[in-house]
Amino acid sequence: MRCVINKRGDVMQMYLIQIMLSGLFVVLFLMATVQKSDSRLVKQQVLERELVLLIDSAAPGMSFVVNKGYRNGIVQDVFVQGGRIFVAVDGLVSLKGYSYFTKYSVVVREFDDRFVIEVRESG
Amino acid sequence: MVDTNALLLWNKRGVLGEHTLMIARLALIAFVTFILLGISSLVYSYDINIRDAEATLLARSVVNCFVTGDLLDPDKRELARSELENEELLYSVLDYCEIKGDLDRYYVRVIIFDSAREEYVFSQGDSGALWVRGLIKSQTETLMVARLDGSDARLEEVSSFKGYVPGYFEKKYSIKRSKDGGEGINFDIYVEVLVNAEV
Repeated sequence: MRCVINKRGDVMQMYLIQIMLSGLFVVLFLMATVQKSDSRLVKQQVLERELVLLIDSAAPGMSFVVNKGYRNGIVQDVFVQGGRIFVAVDGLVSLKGYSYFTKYSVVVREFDDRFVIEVRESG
Repeated sequence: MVDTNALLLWNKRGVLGEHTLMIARLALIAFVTFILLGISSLVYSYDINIRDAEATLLARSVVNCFVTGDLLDPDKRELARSELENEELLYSVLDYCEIKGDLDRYYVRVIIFDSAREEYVFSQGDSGALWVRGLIKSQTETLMVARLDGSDARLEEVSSFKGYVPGYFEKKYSIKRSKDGGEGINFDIYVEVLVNAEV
């Protein structure tokens, strides 16, 4: 009788652990899916690639304005580093950015309501 | 008389079996979850592809580096054989053209044919991706058109289409080199650009 009681208790405990871990996996899965289906990533990609094409084709003296109140979200940060441009949209930080090429230097200036990307002569 | 030690040992063995089964079940659940995560990542992933435009823009920048208008720039880009044999120039055309940025994704090749049909080749980047281009380029589609020839109908090949290679651009330009106001020398410049996807 003792061993039967012990076994029943152990099975119950195992089931509980199993259910908790299964629930954890389901939550992780749902969180990953929600993150992937979020449109902020698309907005970020659109902005980065648009800016890259503009920089690639720009001549010195040109500048491009990105309003912070973008129609599809709030642009929180725009910066260039190591030949790549990074745009943060709606709290989504850009980790990889997108690479560009240019013969000139690219500078980003921040104002109250906009970012201005300027293409200047090197040096 | 019940052997208590045997009972305890039997219980422990039973518990161990349940643990093993539980680990196996959890591993199976984790495996299925990761598969579902992977599938959902594929379904919801979205990559905006601008490589074609990047390839065209890069080709334009490189050609402008060598050519001003329809003339090879004689001041900057002297086509003396001694300079062309400079290995630094041969394999770093983007650096030579002062094109900066994160250039790991780009492969550029420039071939200049002079009037004597001699080739001068400049390149930069990983040419390994060209074998993929070669595979796709070799797949051609043929457009066949049915033509009536009197009372006979026959199929005639009118054109063939090369497979689409994203991020690939090639073009040949004809240019002239001004000879100090004298007669121009004709050159052909062939530029090939391959832009790889972001990793």
